[in-house]
Amino acid sequence: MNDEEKKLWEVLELVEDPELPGISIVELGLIDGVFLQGGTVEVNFLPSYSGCPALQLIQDSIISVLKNHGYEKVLVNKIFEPGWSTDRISDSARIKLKEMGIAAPCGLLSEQLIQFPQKAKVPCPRCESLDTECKSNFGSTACKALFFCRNCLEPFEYFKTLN
Amino acid sequence: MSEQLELNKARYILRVADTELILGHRLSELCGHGPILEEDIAVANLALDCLGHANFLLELAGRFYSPALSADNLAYERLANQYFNVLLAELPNEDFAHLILKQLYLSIFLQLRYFSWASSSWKELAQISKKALTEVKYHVMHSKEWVLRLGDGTEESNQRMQQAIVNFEPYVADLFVDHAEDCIFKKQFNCALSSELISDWSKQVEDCLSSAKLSFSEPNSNYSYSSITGKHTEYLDYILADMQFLTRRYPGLSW
Repeated sequence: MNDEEKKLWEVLELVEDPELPGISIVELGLIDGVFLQGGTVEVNFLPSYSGCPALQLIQDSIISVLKNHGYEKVLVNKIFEPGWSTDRISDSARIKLKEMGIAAPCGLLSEQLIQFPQKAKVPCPRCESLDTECKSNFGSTACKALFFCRNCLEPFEYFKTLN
Repeated sequence: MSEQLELNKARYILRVADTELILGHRLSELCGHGPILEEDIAVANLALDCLGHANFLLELAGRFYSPALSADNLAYERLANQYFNVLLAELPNEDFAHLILKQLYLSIFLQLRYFSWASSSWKELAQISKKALTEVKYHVMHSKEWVLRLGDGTEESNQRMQQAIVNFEPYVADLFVDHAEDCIFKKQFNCALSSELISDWSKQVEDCLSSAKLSFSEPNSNYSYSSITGKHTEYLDYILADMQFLTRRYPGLSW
């Protein structure tokens, strides 16, 4: 990676997910590549969920943050290959999610959660107990499921594994 | 590439794109009116998924027009007789049983359709379909579970489900009618014909309905309404009046 590309990645790390303040889209693995192509910055963006209402806002933020750093011509390409998966979420993002009270994706596919709600084994982000259960496969956003901790009796959200 | 082939591609994609768009709109009508809170949230999320799929497919279809059209142009600026969705999507949510049965029928249908596209040689369609499949499988799971709860529930919930089956019967065969584009793209990209989806669909639906103590009858295409005539039910104009109100009242608006 040359210096120019390094700089572009650093700028992209300033673009936050609109629903998860403090977590950048780079940490969430939403960017596949960024490069300078004949004076235009091209950003390869991987949509997370088809129906995520934040997709357009994220693309607009990418353009405006790059513009604020002097890159006048920006093109955001929505690409589907490689498909986005929760495996792309970085460790630093997982820690931040836990601090926000959201359990990070832990590899269990959602169908397993629904079929075996008692055996969820998703740790509570507050008390870390494994005595948790999945209440609904759908939470406040498309990417999250609703959980309840039987130990500390608090509800929390789980970032669903997608791969 | 001939102009006619381009339009055929657009129409072919729109049959699914419009179905997802109209279905998404009908699902969103439950928002704030769900029978329980978890279902209000779940159905709103299902609607979002449908709109997401519609968005990607409409974007793709728009490229085959000259000049190219955006997803917004297609969603908000067409009249009812320019839509290609299956008729079932337009039917109103008479009660929760109707909404759930429609979800069962359409989510299984869309899953089979996306599955065939994902393994076809039409690259852009395959990519969108692979993504859609990861989401549609939750729709299928959600629908099957609720059909079971309602069918094998109380006398009233069973009766309402049975009524929904009767009401939807004339609209089922429509899902599996081959339009001209089906044959073209079967040859060109090995996309399954609509008629080739019916046996898997019937098996899944029958299994689910019979475990839910509900009776199902094979769709009879002699007594069915079909979108191949280009005519829609009277409901579509009302849906579009709601959905397109803002863009029609303020043409060219932007946030």
